[in-house]
Amino acid sequence: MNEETVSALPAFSQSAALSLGIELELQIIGGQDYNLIGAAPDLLREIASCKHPGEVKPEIVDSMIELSTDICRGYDDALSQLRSIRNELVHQADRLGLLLSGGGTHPFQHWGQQAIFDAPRFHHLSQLYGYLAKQFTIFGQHVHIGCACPDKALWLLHAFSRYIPHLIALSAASPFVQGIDTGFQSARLNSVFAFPLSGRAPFVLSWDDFTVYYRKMVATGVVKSMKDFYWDIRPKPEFGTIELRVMDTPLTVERAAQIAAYAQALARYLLEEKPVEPREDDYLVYTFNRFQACRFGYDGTLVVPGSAEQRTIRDDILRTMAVVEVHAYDLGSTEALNLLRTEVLQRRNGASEVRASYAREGALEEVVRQGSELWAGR
Amino acid sequence: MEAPFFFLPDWPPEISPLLWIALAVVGAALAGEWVRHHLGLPRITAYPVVGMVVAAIAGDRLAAEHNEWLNRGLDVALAILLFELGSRVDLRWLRHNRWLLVTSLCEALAAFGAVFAVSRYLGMAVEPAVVLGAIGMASSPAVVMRVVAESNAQGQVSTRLLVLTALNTIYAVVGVHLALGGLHQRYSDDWLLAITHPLYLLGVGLLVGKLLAMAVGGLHLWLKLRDEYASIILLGLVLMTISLIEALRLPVTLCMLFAGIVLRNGERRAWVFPQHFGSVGGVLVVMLFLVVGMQIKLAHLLTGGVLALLLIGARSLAKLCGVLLLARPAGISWRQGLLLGLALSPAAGPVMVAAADLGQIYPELQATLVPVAMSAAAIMELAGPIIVALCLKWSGERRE
Repeated sequence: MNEETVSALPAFSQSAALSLGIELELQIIGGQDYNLIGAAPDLLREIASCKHPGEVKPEIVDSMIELSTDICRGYDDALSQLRSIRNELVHQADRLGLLLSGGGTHPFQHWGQQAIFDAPRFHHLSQLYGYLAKQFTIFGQHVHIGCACPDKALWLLHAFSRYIPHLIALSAASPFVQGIDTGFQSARLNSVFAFPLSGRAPFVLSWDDFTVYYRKMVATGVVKSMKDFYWDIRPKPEFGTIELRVMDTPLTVERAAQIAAYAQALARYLLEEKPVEPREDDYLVYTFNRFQACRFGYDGTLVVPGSAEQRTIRDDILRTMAVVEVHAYDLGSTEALNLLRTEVLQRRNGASEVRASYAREGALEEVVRQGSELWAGR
Repeated sequence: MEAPFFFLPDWPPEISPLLWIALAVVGAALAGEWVRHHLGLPRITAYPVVGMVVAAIAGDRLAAEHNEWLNRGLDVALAILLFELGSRVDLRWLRHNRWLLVTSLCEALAAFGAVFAVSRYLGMAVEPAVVLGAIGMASSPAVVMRVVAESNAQGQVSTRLLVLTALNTIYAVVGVHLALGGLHQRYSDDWLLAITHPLYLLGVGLLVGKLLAMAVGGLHLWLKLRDEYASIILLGLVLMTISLIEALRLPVTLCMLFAGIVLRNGERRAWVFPQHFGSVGGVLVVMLFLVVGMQIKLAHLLTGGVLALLLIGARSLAKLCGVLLLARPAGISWRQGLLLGLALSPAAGPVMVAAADLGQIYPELQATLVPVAMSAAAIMELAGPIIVALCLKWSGERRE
């Protein structure tokens, strides 16, 4: 595949409404110094002969690896797939003397030391973005939600944008960057925002309009494919899904599955009850809310779009959980919602766990080691 | 009558041999930079060569006159280095990957067999051949550690290289002590002695290692060992340990490796060897390479001739086969196996000493084996760092 060629916008595939897909970018850590290590080729070689659901793929830097599930029906399915891929990966990592870990950033790695994975697309990105590409050594969770038709997908995309701070606060697990406590709960997203085509998708609600927008962007020469958009939520026509991309990779696969289940229940609530009609003006408070979530997590302030009402993000999550509960029940993910609610009530997320671990141990190496044990489910 | 200018030195001024050593150090350092810049090799590849050249110019007395203090310093350097090497051995990894342990046994035994066979072929008696075989098991910890550190290499090849080197050094030390016991007929059919000797080495060695590890681990709890100034405490502890080891008549190599292993594996907490301390030892080890080079004479390289190359070749090939055979089950690619196997080939420094010792015990060997072994060791001292450096470069694990 030649990355220089411009690809036309693919047709929007058929997918079962509200089906789930989860992608997790993982940290590969050396067992010697607990720093990131460029062992993706080793791990990919050893995992190639193993049977597991889903896929394991390389990412832009070779200290990162991405696992993805097959299409899942719901929470239980996603959780069992994630666990079996995780177990297989951990087994191979053990053989190689490596550690794997969740979390949005490695607490003390230095981006200058990362090497770009040897593949044409990644070298192209590295050339284009320079040091940004290496600073992109950050680890996210992507959740795909199946949509019956492209117009519905765009509608859902914009209706969902109001809830982006929830997903950030629930998944936030990147307080440390290059050895320093940033004060943020998700410092990872600050790296994403540096990219020119990051942020929100343009406010178009029909696939035809979106196609027009895409063609215009291609005509400017700025983008060559959908992959060049680093939006928080973007349509994925090949899969027939919208892809939520703001989450840090949580510290455990269980948490990742719970967050995906919450997003799924939320999507069902939005599509079936249509509580709001998305408007361009919803985005007036979008970046403010998103910043609050990155910086303060549950304690951040959320301005309800279309009003001047302010509440804490925690408050807004708990209210939303109450209204999506019945949808979670129908989707078979009540357990996930309950577990997640407990975390919110106890003000716990990945970032608070990482900080607590550092306060207890006083050494970031030990924080990393404990993180890898947590990820392995040991 | 006293000379009027009593404060002036005699003419010509008397220059101490220290100047030659200093010149050698400066020359080695410059050559190291040159090698790094122009050939892309680690600095230490240049040091033994410079040592050899300086010794050739300055003559024999150079190393001899400063033997005492040089050796003392080098012992400390080597002790720190082995301490760090031991702390790179993650026993949990060996438990998860049994094939790695099997690889280690396999390559060490193969090297033993190869050296033993060649020695026998050269007409050596069984006992001294066993001694030489046991020495041949060890890869040079100094070469491996320094080249890996200087290349800043990270990955399967370099990590396994460190682990396998630590393990084969342990086998070799225990093996050599047993073989020497046999050689001097100290056991004289007393099986109790033959059993208690290795038990003493391993057991008490482990105990001393445990003591040092406990001391360092305890310090670690209330002192930031990353601090440069903490290095001096660590240095003091290592010196204390060395004197204890000597009092107990244990091999320093073994105890320091054990100390590192215990420190790393004694508790679950993450342990990272303090970088400053590592570099204190590292700089001292630079001297080691220089001094080793000084002991090599050009004649050494030649006298062994083809037989020396045969010895090197057989040993290297054995190690390579041992690693390559189990590469895939142990979780590395064929290419990585090849590079790892080759990188294990540098021989440990004590070969020359041991060969010289054997020559004194068995004068009849002076003509046959001693020159071959000395020659092989000398060639590997010069070539070893280059081989390891190239293997790491080709493995793509070097990060400078």
